[in-house]
Amino acid sequence: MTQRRRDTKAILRTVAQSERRSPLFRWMVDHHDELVEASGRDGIHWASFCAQAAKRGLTDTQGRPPTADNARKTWERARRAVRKARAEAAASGPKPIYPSRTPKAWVPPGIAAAIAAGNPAVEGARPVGTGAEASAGTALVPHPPPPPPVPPAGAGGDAPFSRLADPDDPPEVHAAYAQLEKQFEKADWYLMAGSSKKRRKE
Amino acid sequence: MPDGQMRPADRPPTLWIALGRQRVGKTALLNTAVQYFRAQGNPMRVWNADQQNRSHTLSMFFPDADEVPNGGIEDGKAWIEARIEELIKDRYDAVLDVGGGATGFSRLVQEVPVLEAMEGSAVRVVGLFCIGPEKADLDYLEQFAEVDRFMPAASVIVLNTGLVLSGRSAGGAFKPVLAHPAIKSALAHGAKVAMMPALTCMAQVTDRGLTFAEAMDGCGKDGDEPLSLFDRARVNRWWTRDVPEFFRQLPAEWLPAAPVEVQPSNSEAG
Repeated sequence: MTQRRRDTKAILRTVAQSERRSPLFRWMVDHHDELVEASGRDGIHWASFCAQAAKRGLTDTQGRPPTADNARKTWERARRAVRKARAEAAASGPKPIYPSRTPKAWVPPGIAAAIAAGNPAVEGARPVGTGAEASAGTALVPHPPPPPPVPPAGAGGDAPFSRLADPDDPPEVHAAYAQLEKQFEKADWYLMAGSSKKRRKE
Repeated sequence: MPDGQMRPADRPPTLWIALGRQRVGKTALLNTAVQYFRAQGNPMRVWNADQQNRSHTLSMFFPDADEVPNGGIEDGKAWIEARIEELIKDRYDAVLDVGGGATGFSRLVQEVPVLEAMEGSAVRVVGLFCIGPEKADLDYLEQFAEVDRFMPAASVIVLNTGLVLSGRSAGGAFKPVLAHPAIKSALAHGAKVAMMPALTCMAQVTDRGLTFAEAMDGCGKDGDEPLSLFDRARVNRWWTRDVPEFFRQLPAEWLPAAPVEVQPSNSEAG
């Protein structure tokens, strides 16, 4: 079942489950396509239909067995409701696709066009998946950026970093502020009576 | 005595100078330092050049303090000059409280390269720039560092957490001043930053004229009541744990020296 058909079904279910509708109306909405198909060219013989409906408890809004005239009018309303619901479902456009339901072969439209055109901007794109899962036909995503270079040990690689300083500040500032941060944390336990929530807020 | 502190024979005399605007804790810091290092056995000298205040000065806490005579800024300048010459000649450790505002010390550093003269005479000058959480507290640091060129190689920016308003975190309170380029520039040139621990009942101790040891031990003076039980506990924790931790933050060679302990030699022992 396609996504659109599932959406239409859901809307129809909502229409059919309205409390103001009769059991006969709800049944007609539920079995709309079957009823259309069964009626064919000759239409529906409403007297026979009403006899069968009464046996199955398909009543009007008053809980009474339907009459032929009543059933015909209900069928017209049911057909209008289904047409309207399907038109709304079609107008609402495609629904977002959850990542878990994204097909492996999906490619963003712009990227797909760029790949097809041999655009150098997407050079380095790689297939999703690794090993056997990877293939030229699957979705392509850009390579992740390389990790930042790791300084050699003893060359400032373990230099302290403080949130109180700017990233561009010299290492002396970071070292001093990192030390201060520890002391602030300790002092605040006394200054603020151990209220860690308030400390975090500040 | 903090670990690693050097002995007098190995090091030059040290002069600690507290700088900063009024009410940032200069006197409280030096009062704490002198009590602490004297308790360790260092008979460091106390110079009180605060011409603005007459109560809560170092002279109140230390009867042996050298006090600037009453007079104007020029008198204060001459007095400080004489003390420094004496220190260079006699080689002892001292603290100098210059007070806030326009002082004899600020006039002196504007006139002559005091720092170069002292460091050239093998005196370790330690500048203690006291600041609270207000940006205006940095004015002195900027003035001395950039205008007067008085920024000792051994400089400490002392963040006084005693000035943080109740209910605020120290980190949040000091964040704006720590972002100031004056502090970052000082740190990049070798200064240190240290957090002076708060003692919430500091005023109760100093108003009574008590030393911290006396306050902790429940002493009273001149008929005053001793501190309450809880305040005594607060002083105890601060004096025996927080203050030593504070001084441990500073490089050992910037601290006033420990006295030389006389160790029996092998021949004497034998």
